[in-house]
Amino acid sequence: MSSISATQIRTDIEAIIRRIRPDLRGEIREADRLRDDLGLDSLHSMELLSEISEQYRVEVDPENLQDVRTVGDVASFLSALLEQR
Amino acid sequence: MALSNRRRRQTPLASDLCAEKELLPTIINEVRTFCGTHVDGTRIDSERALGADLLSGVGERGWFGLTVPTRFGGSGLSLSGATRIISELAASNGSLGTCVGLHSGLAMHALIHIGTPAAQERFLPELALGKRIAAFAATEPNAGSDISAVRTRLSEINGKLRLDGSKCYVTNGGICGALTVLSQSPGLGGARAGHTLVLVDPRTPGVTVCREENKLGLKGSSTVSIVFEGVEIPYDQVLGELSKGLDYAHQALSWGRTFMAAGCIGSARAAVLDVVEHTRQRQQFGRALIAFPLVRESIARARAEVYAMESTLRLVCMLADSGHDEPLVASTMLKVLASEGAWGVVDRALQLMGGTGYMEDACMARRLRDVRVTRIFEGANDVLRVSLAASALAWPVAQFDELCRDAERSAEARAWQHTCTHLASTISALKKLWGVRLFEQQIIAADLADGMIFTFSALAVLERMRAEADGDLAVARLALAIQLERANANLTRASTARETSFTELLAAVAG
Repeated sequence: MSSISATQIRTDIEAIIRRIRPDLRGEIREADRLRDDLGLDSLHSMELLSEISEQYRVEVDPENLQDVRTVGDVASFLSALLEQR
Repeated sequence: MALSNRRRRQTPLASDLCAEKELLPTIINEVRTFCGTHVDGTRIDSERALGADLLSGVGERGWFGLTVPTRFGGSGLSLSGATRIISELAASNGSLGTCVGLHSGLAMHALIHIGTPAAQERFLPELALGKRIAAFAATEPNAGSDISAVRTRLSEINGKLRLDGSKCYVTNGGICGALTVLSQSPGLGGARAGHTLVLVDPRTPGVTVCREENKLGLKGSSTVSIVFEGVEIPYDQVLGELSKGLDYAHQALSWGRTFMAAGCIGSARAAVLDVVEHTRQRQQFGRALIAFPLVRESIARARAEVYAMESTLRLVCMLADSGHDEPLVASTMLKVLASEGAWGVVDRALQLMGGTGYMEDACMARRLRDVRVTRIFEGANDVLRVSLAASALAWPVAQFDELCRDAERSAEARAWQHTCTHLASTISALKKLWGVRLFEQQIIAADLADGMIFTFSALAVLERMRAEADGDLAVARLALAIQLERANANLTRASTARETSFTELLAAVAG
């Protein structure tokens, strides 16, 4: 079972997003779409996943990312990877 | 390969394509004749303008309407047909090819495909005649390769849309009559950080077109900054849906890259013709230059390079014309291939022409200056390579197995199959080693991307060999051999671990 709390995961993801898009203002919500609400294009999203992979030492297979569209999806995806570890 | 997303869109009818195929040689001859008598590259560069007479002549002959649907007075050509004509225009003059190519491709794509009927009626007939010229404004001082970072803003105030901000390096901007602008549009269309494409008439109050830039090349092509201050945008000039502008921009860029590649191919082809003529006539040490093995090899390689670029353009156009919606990955690979290839061919041609090549009168100097920017605009090649490598990570490896199994059994096909297998195994190995962190390993990503590009180009050559039974087999085989050699070299480099000390040295010297 992962020892990292859902809140910590959420905070870490938000910090990474703000590093990638320092111009983002306002709250980042679970339901925010990466592209439409946070302005992350495909390269930004790859950067996000790369940093997550590096920070958490998890392997992210891009083939499994089709349904990852929101901040909440990213958090759930990461939680699932951490559970498997 | 996942060369495109698989949505189907309206395609040219087979009967239209047949008619077009019959008509194209006549149009191409007409372009060559017109350019031969009306295009003066020296005049264009010294005046830093194509000139009203030249633009008018192009417009009268319908060449601004290549991609405009026939119901709006255009020719409605397929991508294959339109790019062939752009190639001819660029062979004559890079600035002319850029003006018409950008107008026909990137700048009009959104209006043609997702514009409202009212906007289409208002603009397309005049665009078809060249009475308006189209431009596309995305780049800003803080947003080049990262176009999502644009700050030009579309807001809705008291029931009206308003545009504020500025754009730089707008090609055709100083002579345009229809400007597609990418803006951020926070809060519009239900998206907090969406983007929207709008069509702007530059005569609208609040639009200021700034002075022409002084560029290294494409001196006859207009390049300006444009400022928007409280510009009112009619709702029917929103292109597509609010907040989806970034997707539309990428689709337009994908389309536009084929036209840009066509221009590169035209320039490269013209360079080969010039250098062959020069090396046949010029004598040194008692022989024509073309008799020397080094010269012969250079010319052979240049011909093969042009063949490979043409073949790849042909394949990408076939994909687009047969209904694959905006072949994003394929056109990106084509853009990198054609821009790098054209630079190499023209540079080598200038070298072979010696001192003569360095003089302005020989036109090779202008050609070299003109093609240089193609490695930068419409997506800097360095960034495109990283993007291509990232996209490959999401390809299902099973698709590769399918492609390789489907290959014919000719020697050439087996050679390609071997390289395709190499590509698949390299992607698998890199995914296993780095996963998404490959994104940070840009040197490896660049090698992988080049491996992908040359494998794709080799496939295009193979397809063309199959289709053109009476084609030039020798140049085709040489092109295939070179592309496969390059592909395998890049893939081997991508999957070979560099010495840690070497990468540390690189990091230390970079500062």
